[in-house]
Parts: sequence; structure tokens; C-alpha cells
Amino acid sequence: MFSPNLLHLWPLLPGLLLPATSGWLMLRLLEWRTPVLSQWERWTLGTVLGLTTTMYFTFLAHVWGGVGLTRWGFLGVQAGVIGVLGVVWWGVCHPEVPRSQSGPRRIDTLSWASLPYWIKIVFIVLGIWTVLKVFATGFTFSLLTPLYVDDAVDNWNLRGKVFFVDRTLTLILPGQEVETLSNSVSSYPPTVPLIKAYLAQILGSWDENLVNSIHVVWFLSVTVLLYLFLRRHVNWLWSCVGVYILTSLPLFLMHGTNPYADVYLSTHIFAAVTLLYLSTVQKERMEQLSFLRLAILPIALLPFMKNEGLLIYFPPLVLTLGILLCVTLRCNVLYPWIRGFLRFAPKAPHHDTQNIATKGGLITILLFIFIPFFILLPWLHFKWSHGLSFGNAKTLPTLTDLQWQPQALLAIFLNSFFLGNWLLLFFVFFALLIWQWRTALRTPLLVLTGFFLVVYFGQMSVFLFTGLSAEAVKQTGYARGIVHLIPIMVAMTTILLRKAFQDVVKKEYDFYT
Amino acid sequence: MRTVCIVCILLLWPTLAFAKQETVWDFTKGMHGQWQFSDCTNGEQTDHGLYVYAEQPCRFVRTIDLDHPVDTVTLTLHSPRRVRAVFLWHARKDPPSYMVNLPFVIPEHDGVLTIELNPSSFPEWDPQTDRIGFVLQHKGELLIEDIRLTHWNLFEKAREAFFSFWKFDKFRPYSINFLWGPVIGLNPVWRAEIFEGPPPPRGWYSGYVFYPLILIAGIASVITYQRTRRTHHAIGVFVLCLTCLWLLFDLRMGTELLSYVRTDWQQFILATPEQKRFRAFDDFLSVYEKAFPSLKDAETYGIAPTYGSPFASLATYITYPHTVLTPEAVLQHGPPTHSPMTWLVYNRNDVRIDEENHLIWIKEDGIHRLSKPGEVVEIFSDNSFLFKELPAGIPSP
Repeated sequence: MFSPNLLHLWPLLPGLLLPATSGWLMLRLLEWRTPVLSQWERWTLGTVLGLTTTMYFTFLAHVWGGVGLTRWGFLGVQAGVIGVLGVVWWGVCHPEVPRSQSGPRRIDTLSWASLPYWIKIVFIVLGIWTVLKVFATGFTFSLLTPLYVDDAVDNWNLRGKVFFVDRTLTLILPGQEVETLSNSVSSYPPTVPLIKAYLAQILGSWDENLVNSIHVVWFLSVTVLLYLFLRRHVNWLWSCVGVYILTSLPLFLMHGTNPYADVYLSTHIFAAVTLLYLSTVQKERMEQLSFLRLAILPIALLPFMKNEGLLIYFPPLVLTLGILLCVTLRCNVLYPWIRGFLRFAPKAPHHDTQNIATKGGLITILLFIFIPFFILLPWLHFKWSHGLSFGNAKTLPTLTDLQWQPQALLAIFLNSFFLGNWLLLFFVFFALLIWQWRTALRTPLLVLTGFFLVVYFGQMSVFLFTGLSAEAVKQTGYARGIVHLIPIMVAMTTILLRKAFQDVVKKEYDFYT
Repeated sequence: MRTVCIVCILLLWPTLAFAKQETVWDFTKGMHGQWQFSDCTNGEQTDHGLYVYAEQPCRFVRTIDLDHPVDTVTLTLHSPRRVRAVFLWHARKDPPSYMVNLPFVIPEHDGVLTIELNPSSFPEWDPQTDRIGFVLQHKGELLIEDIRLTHWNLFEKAREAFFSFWKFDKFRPYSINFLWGPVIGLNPVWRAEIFEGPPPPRGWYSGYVFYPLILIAGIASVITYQRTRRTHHAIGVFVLCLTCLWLLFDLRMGTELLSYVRTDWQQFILATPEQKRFRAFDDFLSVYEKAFPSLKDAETYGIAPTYGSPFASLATYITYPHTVLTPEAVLQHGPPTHSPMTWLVYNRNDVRIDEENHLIWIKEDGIHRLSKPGEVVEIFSDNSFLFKELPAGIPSP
């Protein structure tokens, strides 16, 4: 009974293809008449975001429409979403976009042949080593071994199986009582368990390895997204350096190859933050707006993924999105103040009020208001109506008792710098942040830097001053928060490293000339 | 550079003379030192060693004045019963009456037993301690053949540090929250006990290895700059060193993860059903698989798993929608008339069968029946078995 059957993995392909198509269509519609993503970006992002979005629609269809969590229930929602989006796409976007306009500008000045011999050797060796590690751990931990880690047994997989067997969104799990429901794992968004139930329904039975395989897909997705993001700024070799750094981080790899939901959340956070960042580096207003519209979707989905998504990541991202929207449209009375802070923001033109009237701007503002509330409000209503709590690990009211927790600081320091979790990333990252502070704070990279600093030190203050310190002291919670931020840290590290490299080479060049 | 190397070698050369040093107190050949026994029923030197017998907590100490520091203490002894003991030492900086305690357990053993203690992993340890001793915390009996006090030289410690760097942890339940990474020990006993005892492992974490090396890389780059006056050379040296350290760390952690993979393949994926072991679950999955035919048809079944284990949750997950009850749940919900008819007991010596063939739970507050009369259907090990109630009307054997 614990022997894997790899033939049971077949639902993964159709199970992903349907939401990926929905995701592709959603992204394409959000781009509207200004396509800014490459096909690779659209399909990868589409797979990740489409899966989450269609699970949200399944949740709505189940709760409001009484659609059962059966095979045909799941597939019906998938087909319905594809159908509606497909019709809209065909009518609105399809005929107008010449293929040549689509996609980003690539930096392709480096060819394999021009590389020194030793770089080729290092590249090949590290490539083989990385593929070996990811393949061996992903294959073994996800596809060949039974469930092992606690939260997967008690939460993600258990709930998924309960949904699969009961064919409904059961809240009272086995061994639980109604009285303890509010603080139980049922207060977590049901997305990951729904995805597992969806795959199992396609197969027709619960298969451990099938439902765990989706976690490797998320890990690979964030790796691909990182590469594609870096390719917009640096050549393919530096992009590979970024990918190598990400996949070499042991704890991130552990999370990526085990059925935990933190890499899943980190993928969405990374998508949201990088799309916001990309909006700031575009020269054309319509491209900026296109990226902002794209960023709305992953931001809006955050509350429906994990409780941290709602409490920690959603507020700063919505705020950033609002500020960038304001900067892009240059319509707010606060704009001069914002511009004073954000050095990279362009000067406002004389006829500001005309800009907001543009169709793209209006659509973006409407989507900014509509999409997050469309996802947030039903989910919050569901939680309130069922008495589910809002905290993560502890309910929110228990976090208001503020007190200095001295042990937490040492535990955080050890976890970040002294153990085997992150290799030397924290040292390199903070060193680069200090060395290249101008780039980090006075260029569009501020979007990434600011988000990271706000969230990281926000999390630290929660651990240092509230009862959640136990999560840091026992090393059960702090690292998961870091897993959420790791792709952003790696992207920043790679960009800053390359900038530092350029600076040194340029200085040397100036010295000789 | 050559001069620097030669000077370094010449400076380090004399340390080679300090090979591993060991003082052996062989009690089979006579008494060593003046041992002071307190509250011991008996404490004397015999032909077979130092015999200590205690009916109550007992302590025996002696002063020492060795010509070498001490890193580890090794006891060769006979122990007819399990004893909780304490190793004591006096650090010279402490007041004379104060001694540091290091608890350890001497297991029950038929033959000669070797206990290796590594006090040097504790910051309180004084390698030049002037007084050591032992405490037996309850009734106990020991026959100590010899005590070895060992010191390793710099090169031996460096070798052990290198090997301990490459010693891997196992895939534990906590591995999803953090990975210790390399932990450095400075002697063979220390290296052997890294990751084996309760966490956290004692030793120097990776930061103590890498940050000094980064500092050295920084100094090397400054020296490079002073010599060449070229910034990119200096930074290049630093970045190169940092990259090498990253690659080394990646190699270390990557091989640890691959060692998890190898263990899974060896002990679980490719192992025969009888030999299957799965990480910290040990043989639970094998036992559960064997018991599964009896459990799968029961709408409700009981499981009494190892304390603190997730096995009840795991069983609940595997056989959902069947109801799985633990002894705690059965007692909480009322009399055993509502208890499951089938029970899987795994590694629990407090859940047994009484004389009337009831499954009972022996607790501190008394003995609680968990079932009606039944029989053990299958025995998996000393404390693991499958129990089934007898259908009504069938007399118990």
C-alpha cells in the first residue's frame, strides 16, 4: 500500500493543462492590447495563477452554486472558466495583437562560444549537480515515499483527502470538535487541499504521489519564473547564476520537494512583486499599466492561499500597487510627495487629468478595485460566517500582547546565518544591499527592496515582540516566512551582484583610461 | 609566499610531537587515586575493577593532577542494570565546592560496556580540571574496569573537525523547518555523537567555519590590493574565495540531501517488506501494512502508537473516512463498551493484555480497560501487536 505507482501520475498533465489554459487566457486578457509577457512567462505564470484562480472559482461554485467537489464538478468549472475566458479573449484581444509586438526585449549579447573554457566547465558541472539534486530529491521525496511531514498529514493532504472522499468542503476534520473549529486548520484557505482533491478526482482515487507531485511543479515554476525575470535584466549566464543560487538553498529545496505549501505561496509573492517591479522599468505608459494589471491577479489571490497571504503579504502589496498606479497615472495629489521619495518616478506632465481618462488607466483602476475585492470579500465572508479565525499558528487577538522575546533574536540569527538552511545567502544578500545601496534604494529595484525590508522586519518584529516568538525559538515558523521571500532575495542578489561586478570592471576601465 | 609557508610549517612542526595523550586508570591492577565515596553502600577496589554499589543516590569523586589536558572520558564497566548517572567535574575557576554535572545513562548490559563521555563539547568544561567524579542517581551497581582520560593533539583535532564537517544528519521531522548543516566536533567521541543525541547537536555550527574563512578572504583581498593597487584584483580574490566557500557549502548540504535520498532508497524503496524502515517512522509503515487487512474493513479501529508520534494522525489520514481512536480518545469518550473492536498497538509497553484478555492501558492513575475480552491476532515485536475483540458469545481462551 505504500508502494508508488507512477502510472497514477497521468492526471497531472491534463490536470495542469486546463488551469494553465485558463491562466494563459486571464493573463492575456489582463495585458489587454499591450502584451508584455513572453510566451514562456505567460504559460508558466498561467499554470501557477490559473490553478489557484480556478480553485477559487471551484470554491465559489461549490459554496454558492452547490457544485459538488466531484470529477465533473471540478472539470465543469475548469471548462466553464476556459469557455468564458476564451470567448472574451477571442472577441477582445485575439485579432489585434501582432505576434511581433509580444514579449520582452531580451539581452542576448552573450554566446556560448564566446565563453572562456573554464566558465563552460564550471557551468556544466554545476548544471549537472543541480539537476541531479533537484531530480533525486524531487523524485524520491514527492513521488516514491509516503507522507512524512506533520503539516501535510494534519492539514494539506488530510483536508484534500477529506474533500475528495466527502466531495464537499468539510470543515470539521476527523478527531476535531465543533468547539475547536475556529482555530483548526480549516481556518486556512482550502486552495492547496482543493488542488489535491481535483487531481485525485481526475484519477478517480486518492494517490499519495500524484497529489504530492504538484509541489514539485510549483518549485519548478518559481525556478523558471526566476530565470525569465532575470533574463529581462541580465544575460542568460547571470540568469543561470540566479537559478543556481535558488536551487542550491537546502531548505528551499526541501520545501520544494516535500508537500508543504510555502513554496506555493512564495511563487505567487514572487510573481506579484516582480510584475510590480517590471511596471516601473517600462518606458511606455501602456506597458506600465499592462504590468500593473497583471500584478493585480497574484496579489488578489494571496488571501486565498495561506493565512499569511492575507495578513502579511496582501496589505503591503496592495499599498505598493496603489502607489505605483498613482505614479503611473500621475493623477494623485500625493504624487509630488511620492515622487520625492521614489527618485525613479517620472515628472508629472501638465495635463495630468487627461491621462487618467485613458482607457488603460480606467480599466486598470477598475480591475485594481474589483479583482481583489471579488476574491477577498467572499473568502472573508465565508470565514466570518463559519467562525474561522484569521491568525496563523495563533489567533490574531493573542498577538496583541506585546513583550520583548529575547530568545527569538538569537534563534533568528542562528537560523539565518549559522545553520545549513540558506548557505551564505543572508551574508551575501545583506553585504550587497549595503554595498549597492544606491541601486537597491534609488532605482526601480526599490520595489523589491522595500517589499523585502518591510515584510522581513515586519515578520521579525512579530517574532520578537509577540507570543509567536515560540515559532522562532523552536525553529518551526521563522524559516517558512523566509521561504516565502527567498525567490525575491535571490533575484535581488543576482541583480546586485551583477551591478557590483559591472561597477568594479568599469572602475578598472576608468583607472586605465 | 614560499617563505610564509616555510615559517608556518616550522612553527607548527613542534605540535606534531604532542600526539594523542591518554591516562588509563586500570582498576583491575590496583586502585588509582583517592576516591571519596559519599552515601554509597559499597565502594572498593576488587580484582575485577572498582566495585560500586548503591541503594540510594551515591557519589564518588577524586582529585586529579595530569600532565595533559583531557578531552574525553571513557569508562569500561559492567552494569547489570540500567543506571542514570552523572559525570562531575570541578572547573578551576569555580569555588571548590562547586562541581558541574553532566547526566548520562548507563544501560543494562550483560558483558563489558564502554561509555564514552565528551565533556569538551560543553563550555563549562575545564580540560585541566582538578577534580572529577560520578553520581549514581538511584539504586545501582557498577564494576568499573578502567577509566581513560584522553587528549588529542591539534592535527588530530583538525582531522576530526574535517570529518565531522562531512557528517550528515538524517531526514528528521524537523528537517522541513531547519537543517543544522555541518556541526564541527574536535574528537572522535564528539564526532560520533553529533546528530545522535537529542537536539540541538553540540559543536560548532557552520557559521563558525565559514565566517572566519570569509574574514581571511577579506584580509587576503586587502593584501592583494596593497600589493597590486588594483581594485578588481582585490575584489576578485574576495569574490573567488566567497564563491569557493559557497560551492563547498552547497556540496556539503547537497550531499546531505542526497544522503537522505540514498537512505530512502536503501531502507524503504528497495528494501524487502520485512526490512522496510522509513526515516523516523522506523518500521511503523511495515507494521501498519501488515495490520491493514484487519483494519481496512473496520468502521472504527483503535491505534495505540508511540508517544509523541504522528502515527494516529497518519492512520486517520490513510483510512479516512474510517474512524481512528487512540486510548486517550476512548477514555475521554466513556466506557470501553464503545471502544473499537480492533486495535493496533505499536511500540507501547504500557498497553497490554490483562489476565481476562482485555486490552488495558497502564497509567499512573491506574489501569484502564480499553476493550472487551479478545486475543492477540498478530505479534510484530515485543511491544507491537494487533488485538481483536472476540465476537459476542465466544468465550475468551
